[in-house]
Amino acid sequence: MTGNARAAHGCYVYGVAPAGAAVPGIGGIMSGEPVRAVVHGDLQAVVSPVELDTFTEERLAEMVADRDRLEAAARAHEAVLSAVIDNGDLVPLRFGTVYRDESAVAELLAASERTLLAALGRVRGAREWGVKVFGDTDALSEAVRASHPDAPQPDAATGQGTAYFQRKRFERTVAGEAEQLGLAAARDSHERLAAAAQAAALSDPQPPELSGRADRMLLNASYLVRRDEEDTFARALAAVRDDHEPRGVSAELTGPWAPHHFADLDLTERVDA
Amino acid sequence: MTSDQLPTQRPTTAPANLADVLERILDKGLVVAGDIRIDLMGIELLTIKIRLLLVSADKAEELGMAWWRNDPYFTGEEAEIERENQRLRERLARLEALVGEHENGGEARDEAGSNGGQGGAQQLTQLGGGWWQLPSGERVQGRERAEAALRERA
Repeated sequence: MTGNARAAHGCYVYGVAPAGAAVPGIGGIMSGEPVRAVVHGDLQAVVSPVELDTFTEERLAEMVADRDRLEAAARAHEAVLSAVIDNGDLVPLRFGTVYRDESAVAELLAASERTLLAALGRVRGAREWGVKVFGDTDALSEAVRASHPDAPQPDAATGQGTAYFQRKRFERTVAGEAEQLGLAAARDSHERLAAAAQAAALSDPQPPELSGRADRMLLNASYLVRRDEEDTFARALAAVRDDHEPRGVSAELTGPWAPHHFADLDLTERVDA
Repeated sequence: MTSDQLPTQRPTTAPANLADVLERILDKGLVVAGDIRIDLMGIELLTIKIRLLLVSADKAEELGMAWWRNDPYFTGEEAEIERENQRLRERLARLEALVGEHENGGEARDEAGSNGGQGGAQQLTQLGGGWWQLPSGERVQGRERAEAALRERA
């Protein structure tokens, strides 16, 4: 048992890959110790040793309250996943999964073998790409105003009931139509990108404080794209940008990611027969 | 964001911000019963704490942004205040429309009448980022689409 020799260490699990896939030469989360593989049958788990007392409730609460430490841990976890999918397939596990030793990880692979193989089959040869679509409210409103040549003049005298309310009403119309124009562009972008992908998933749009951009996020989507179809996907994205950017709707690409959104599976209650 | 430390894989790819990473590694992916695992409830609470950390409560307040409060963990007093504010804003909008109608000799009648019908707006909960929640719990993006969905189900 490896557990006896390193009683203070646990085995942090990043994800599950096909057995025999290359393991990236990269340091793992927390301890920085090298990432390694735990093989069972046709599967291998990507793991690295961590000190068990890093994962007590108290220590985790401390970490979550410290943005820098949290970010370092999150990025270390993600860096391992990225390194693995640079060269091969991976079903990613959620952040914070630790087993007491490598034999317990092998038991997991044995107990859920069929489910894990099926999950790997669904993402075979594919990676996840993120696309966030943003709408520039001013540019969208300008596009709407340009389509209303009969717009009330902004310099019309205020205080005169009819002119004031006409103008106010027009501005409400512009705001409403600009929103619809932005959402329609986001829907169109999503439909065209999804058509170039194996699968698509939507997340809640991020508010500006999270996205780091003042423009409103209209779409926060993830696409599962086969490696040999990445060029097709890139061309679809370029076409979407060409069509919508002139009206203030821009698309931002992130990735490649491990297929997080397409391996969203809960195995806590489940053991293969 | 400190994403500049990550080398970008392709020139057309934007660096991932921390929220991009967290929404994936905390909310998505395979869940297994590790020997030592932050349990599912723990992860949800963790996610909310992280959101609060990323968007400080003061900043959210300042922007009138209550998206995180609509989380089931924030259905207390603050959420009720936000709903009440929303109801008052809707009521003010309707009163403004009525005043306009009065001053314009009925010109604005169509507009006031098309506002989702009696009490329609009160049944929508704003989730932020343009998303609205119907009483059924269904989420719809865009105010007008949410109101249309509400009318459909009435």
